[in-house]
Amino acid sequence: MRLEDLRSTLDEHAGRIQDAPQARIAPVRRRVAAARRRRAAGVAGAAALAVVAAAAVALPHALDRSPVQPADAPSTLAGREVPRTQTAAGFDYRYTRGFQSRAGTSSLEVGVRVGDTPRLVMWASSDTSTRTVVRLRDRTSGDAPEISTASGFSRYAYLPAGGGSRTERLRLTQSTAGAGTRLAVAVYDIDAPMRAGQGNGTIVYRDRVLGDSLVRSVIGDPGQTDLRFRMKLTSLDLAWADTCYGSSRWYSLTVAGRPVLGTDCSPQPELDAGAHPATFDGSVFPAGVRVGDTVTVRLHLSPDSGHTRSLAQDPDAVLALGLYTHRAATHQVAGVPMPDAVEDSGHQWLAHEWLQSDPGRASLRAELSPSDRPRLVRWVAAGTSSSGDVVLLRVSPDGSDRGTIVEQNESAVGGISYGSSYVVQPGQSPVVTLEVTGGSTSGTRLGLVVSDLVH
Amino acid sequence: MEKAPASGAPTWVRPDFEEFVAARSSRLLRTAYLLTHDRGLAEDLVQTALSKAWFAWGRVDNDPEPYVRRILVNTYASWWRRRWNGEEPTDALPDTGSSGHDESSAARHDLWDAMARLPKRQRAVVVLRYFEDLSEAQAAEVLGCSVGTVKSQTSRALAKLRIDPALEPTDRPTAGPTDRPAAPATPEGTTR
Repeated sequence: MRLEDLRSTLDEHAGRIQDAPQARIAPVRRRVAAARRRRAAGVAGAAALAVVAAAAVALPHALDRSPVQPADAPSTLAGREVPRTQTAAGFDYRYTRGFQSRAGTSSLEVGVRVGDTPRLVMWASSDTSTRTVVRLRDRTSGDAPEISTASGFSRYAYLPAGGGSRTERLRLTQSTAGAGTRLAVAVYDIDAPMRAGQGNGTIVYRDRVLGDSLVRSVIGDPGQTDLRFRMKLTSLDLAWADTCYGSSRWYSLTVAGRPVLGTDCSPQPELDAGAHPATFDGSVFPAGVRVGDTVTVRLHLSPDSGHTRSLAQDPDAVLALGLYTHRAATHQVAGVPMPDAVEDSGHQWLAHEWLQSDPGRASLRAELSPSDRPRLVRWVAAGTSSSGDVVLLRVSPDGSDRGTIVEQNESAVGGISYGSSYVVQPGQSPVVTLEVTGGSTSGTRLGLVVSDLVH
Repeated sequence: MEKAPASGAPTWVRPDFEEFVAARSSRLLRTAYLLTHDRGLAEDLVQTALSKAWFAWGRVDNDPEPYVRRILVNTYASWWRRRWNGEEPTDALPDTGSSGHDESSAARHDLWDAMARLPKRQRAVVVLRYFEDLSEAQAAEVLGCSVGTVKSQTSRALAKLRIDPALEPTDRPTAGPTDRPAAPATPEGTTR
């Protein structure tokens, strides 16, 4: 073998890759948003997070004051009573800052500082005379705008923690504004998050995540890099929420001597440590393990990425595990079990419509009827080839057939691809199309799940 | 609408990130494909690296490509078994990409197959040295290791390729892809 052959082989294969990099922006943005949601990290009782900038604000005293004063959160904004509290994804939030525009303006821009804990914003217009359409756009993330067709404080938007301290630039606009119209934004801080479940002051395992209950949580001390416990199994149907923070090393989960997982420890903690428990497709326990058996569960920090028994030392590392019942109801869509209830973007959603293609069909089209409530669209593609198929989710908010590609995924190994979700805003009746390019096979199945907003 | 004076607080507005994705990520995709030998995994790897880089974008120097490439290569090297709701773990080796070979020689085809059997770190070194044309020092910086490690990994990788059964001397019958014994599952292949 000559080095020239090696170079030409690499060049030849690299040259075969055709790419549309513009289409990569949207999925990367969604991954960032998902990561920020997962990084809902924080410390209870952290210092107040100031809202630091506002435009056309009639509450100048609300700016740059820390800690927050009661006067910063007036009980009415834009002539509307502001909800004092709100719940989102299992946590309580408290209204702390208010902004409103001057009379007669059709837009309001605010900067909301987000740090180690998530925040919520709600919005409203004083205009009740006509059917009001208010759009809230996060100009920092570039996400699609939130739209409300009700003029009061009827919806909240979730600003996930993580990524260091940042300022989200939010712009509220109204389609038409009369001479006296005011727009308002209310900002909420998380309130006593440890009340939501079992925690150590930094992370918490919620007592309930959707329909599942916390069975047991074990949180190690800082520097305890080998965490073991024994448990008697009352069920094999469990969801596992492992966590490691305070280190950039590797950690592993072993159950009854069987390696289950190895992944990176995160330097930053995630407040909501039980948000995404995994079932590992029921493959956690070794063959022969039965209900009633007692097994040893071990989490340990490793010096490298191999599955090794050797331990790494790190005085700041914290290992933790939460175990949840797993009774989630599912529907088979395209042959894949899709959970009915999900948490996404700080909201809870419940599936009400399931669509799937006939085997071998390369596209699936759905026309969604108008609704005053947001809806969540999830998708799945099964039986696709990982050597060239591309799955596209195309959404046309105005109902035409020429929609915008909002998701592009290469087909996954194993032939099953899942996409990140898409929120259909109130008042929209879009056409949603899921399609596979690159040629489908007789086993290709496509599925869409439409969910209603529960909270 | 009146604008309030700027507060002076830092904001996270970074239009250059999307420009970077549009302009430079195709090159990263090709590197990822050479590492993973799978188009789908390569896309996943690039998106993973880019989304990780997003969080540090404000701290990245003028040319972010080396930084993103470092994330990409190290993410690839440390992939073991991904966790994500709904993702199916697999015990099968990933597909080896398009089978649409045209005129390329059997030797190149076999060399590509042989590369798939290299351990991840060695494959990464080969791609960085012979596709990216990085020096040993530059490759060491990307991989976060010493120059000596790059040298030894390169040497081992080339030695493995030279003795790979797929690259036997041409005066002996060359086993075709279909009659060659199945490649043993590498640790990284079975545990991802």
